[in-house]
Amino acid sequence: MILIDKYAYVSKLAKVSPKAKILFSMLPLLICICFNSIIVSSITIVIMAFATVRYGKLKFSKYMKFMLIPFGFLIVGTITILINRFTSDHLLLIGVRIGQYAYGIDKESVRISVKLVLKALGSVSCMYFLSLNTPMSDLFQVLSRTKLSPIIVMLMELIYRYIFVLLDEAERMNIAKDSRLGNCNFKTSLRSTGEMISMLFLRAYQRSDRIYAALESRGYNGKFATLDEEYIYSKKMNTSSILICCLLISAWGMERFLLWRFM
Amino acid sequence: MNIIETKELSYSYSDEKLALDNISIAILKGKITAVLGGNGAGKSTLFLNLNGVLTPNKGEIFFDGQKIKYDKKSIIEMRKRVGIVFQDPNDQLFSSSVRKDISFGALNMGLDIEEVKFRVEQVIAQTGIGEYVDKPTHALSFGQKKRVAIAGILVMKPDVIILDEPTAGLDPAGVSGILKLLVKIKEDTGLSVILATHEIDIVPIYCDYAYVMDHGKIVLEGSINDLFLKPNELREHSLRLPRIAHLMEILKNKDHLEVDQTAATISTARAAINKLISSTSK
Repeated sequence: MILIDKYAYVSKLAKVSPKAKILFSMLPLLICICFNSIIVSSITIVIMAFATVRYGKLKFSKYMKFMLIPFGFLIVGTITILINRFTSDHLLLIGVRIGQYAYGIDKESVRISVKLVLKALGSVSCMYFLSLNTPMSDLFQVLSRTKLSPIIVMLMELIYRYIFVLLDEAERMNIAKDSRLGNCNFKTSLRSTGEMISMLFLRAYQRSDRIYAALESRGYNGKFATLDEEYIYSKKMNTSSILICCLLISAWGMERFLLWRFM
Repeated sequence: MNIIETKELSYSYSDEKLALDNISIAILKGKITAVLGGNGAGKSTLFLNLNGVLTPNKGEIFFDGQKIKYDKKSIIEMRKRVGIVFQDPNDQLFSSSVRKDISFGALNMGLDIEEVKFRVEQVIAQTGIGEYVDKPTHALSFGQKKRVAIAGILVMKPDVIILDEPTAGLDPAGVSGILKLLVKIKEDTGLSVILATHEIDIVPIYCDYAYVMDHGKIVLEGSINDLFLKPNELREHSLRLPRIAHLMEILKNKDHLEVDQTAATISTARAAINKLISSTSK
């Protein structure tokens, strides 16, 4: 099982209605993106981390490791916003003057960068809440109830189901080619990997034939009719979603007011 | 009483060679019938014909005495009554959720949701998969997937269940687990079972009757005891005697001991050896 998938299935919130979890994570995400506020983003990060760790029962250290994943991208992305070129008389927090220009960081670029980092982390924390607590099959079930074409949802589910079979097969083939010195040097490795990929494609094609025969034998008639999973209806989570949205909007309002009053 | 009969059934894929060549078999109701044969003997093709996935080029299939017509309605009826469990469960389990996958066949039969839910829970208990029913399909072990695949067929309440190599890829505990489960289900529900296997040692323990296929033809058939009295014919068709029957054959033919050559299980061989010992001590 791939790592993130495993956490979703063992989460204490796994059996809670995926709709409630989508509402709980997507509304704050939307607010976080639209309002572009340091306070709103910070509150979102704290709430989502608390919900995932406290109610999803994910270890805090694990959660922090997950939060560190986007940091690399954020640092690279933010540096370009943080460091700018200014006129030589511009007030810098840190920087160097070269010729008629100054290069460095000023108050505004720090503010924009912090805003950006927090907004990104806030959005990531919302997405983490959803993905660490919602198994993929539940998301497919929600998607199948939207106006999305059923065949697309089914294709998504089939791809998700068979990606693991394909990965298993590829892993076995890779071990087999490794055991016969298929990776002894770069050239051999490239050639054998190419052959492995073409063989994998052929096997996938043969498997698709067998899958179709298996579906037909169980009365497949063009529709993938399956029972819907049953979930715990969470009134608490729905109420929390509304309260969090109210809190975020009020926090944004308060921030605006303070900025207007004192700046 | 036969549940399925085929008369001179022939089938060929796009190439000219016949995959099934004049197959006439009769499957006994409520019994376990083994179909034996080497790779490429035509076992899987026969099974797909019995389920209506493939339509024979020639010959007829009778289900409960009724001739199968190949119109849409008859084929649907046939698939409801004859279920196939495929060799590789990954070919069969298409959904990422165990419960959803099990429900697929029953929903295709047009049953109402409540009945499907009831049946799903029933087969989960029957096949002993409750422990891992909430896991995603891809996280199950091979043996667990096999059980889920069997549950996915049992939920349709077929009269006949066909298992293509049910023991392939399983450890000894997995093999006996699956076979004991089948025997239990057969005893509880009166299901008829057809199984293809290379594992010849399990045949005398679990099966009542056997057919041997080679190059698309039925080359041998008979009750288990009769079949193992023809070791040379079995060997001609890429098969062998079960280990215990082989030992009895050696004791009889090479050591000239008066043992029952049909003894192919531990219990029958033990009885035969005890009988021999007591007769020599007298």
